[in-house]
Amino acid sequence: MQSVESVPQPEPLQVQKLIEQLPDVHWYQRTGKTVKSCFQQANLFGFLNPLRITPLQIVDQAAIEWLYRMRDSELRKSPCFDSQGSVATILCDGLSPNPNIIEVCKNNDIALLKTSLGSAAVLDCLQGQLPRLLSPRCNKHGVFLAVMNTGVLITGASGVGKSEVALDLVQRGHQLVADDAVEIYRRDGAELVGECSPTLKGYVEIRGLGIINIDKMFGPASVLDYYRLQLIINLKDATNKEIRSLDRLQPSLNMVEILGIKVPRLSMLVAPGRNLAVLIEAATRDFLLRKSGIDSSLDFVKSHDRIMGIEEIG
Amino acid sequence: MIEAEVPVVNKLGLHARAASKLVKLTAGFESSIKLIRKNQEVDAKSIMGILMLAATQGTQIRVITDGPDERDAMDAISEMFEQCFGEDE
Repeated sequence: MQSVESVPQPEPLQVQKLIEQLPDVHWYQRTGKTVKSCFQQANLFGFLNPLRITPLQIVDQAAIEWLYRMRDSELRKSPCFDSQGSVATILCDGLSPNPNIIEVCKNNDIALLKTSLGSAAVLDCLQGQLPRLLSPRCNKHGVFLAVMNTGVLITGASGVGKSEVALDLVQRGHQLVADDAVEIYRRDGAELVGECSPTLKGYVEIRGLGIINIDKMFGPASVLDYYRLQLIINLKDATNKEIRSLDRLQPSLNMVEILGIKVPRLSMLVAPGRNLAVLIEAATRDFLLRKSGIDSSLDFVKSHDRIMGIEEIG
Repeated sequence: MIEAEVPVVNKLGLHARAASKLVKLTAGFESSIKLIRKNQEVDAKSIMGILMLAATQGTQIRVITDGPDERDAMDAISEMFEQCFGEDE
């Protein structure tokens, strides 16, 4: 498996997808337009302003009065409704557009909608949704679960038993995020979040059983929409030789880079007699201990050295 | 490693039953097989992955096979796509 990958360029932002996140919306006109992702939050949206056009413009009481006063011909010439620069016009506080505004938006393929939210709330909502839609994304093959409040991605070759161990973990009270295909994006530049594609949410494929619905079988509390990715556990079908050559004191831990962020990856051997769900739980507990500065292996070696009277080196 | 663009030609696209047939085929090969659509990359041996692509008729899918039987795998996969997964159209 490749351990380092380049950060893919984000796709253009589907404006429609962003605006759909607003609650209580009435649409007059939709749009298929996209905005290049290089737009930063600061210049993607703003209040309607003919001197400084933003792709998404927010119209409040003052702006609507100004628009109402404009004649049809003025509206058509206004830079605010230019088919190149403008993508969407959002009316706040339940304000309604007049027929002239509706027409000019229709002619220039500009989305037009109204919402009962105030302008500050609209700004808040758009700002909150942007990082999820704009940040770089990638897909990973594996099962993603929240095990004891830790996002664990279980990877490994097809047929090694990822879905089966996921079922075991859900049975033990942990939550499933996604089976087999996980969408990962970078949030706030510093952490990774994994989520399930909406088409597959709550379903797991188990060989011999077909596709089962975890949501219905174990209840809604057993499924999560998204979770922070903190640990990767790579399952490997072990040959006897591999098991014998393992370092017995240390976990086989290395770091892999996903979207520019380093994530610890633990390799775990699958062999008859090894209960994977218990091992993954134990690995997660060990990960949590390590995060709080407790390294069981190192502690043991140190205390053993002390008993043997060996001076600590370095 | 072999790479090829394969179009989805059948009317229903890469639906659940077609995906199931495809997985049955790919699981028989030792090589690693990946399907890529836009920026979504999935394992062709995982039915959930293929279903996530939700590829409709006319979609171009990039297939990458890598391993000892990569040529055979690629041929079999393109043939299955061409023959509409054994469907009528």
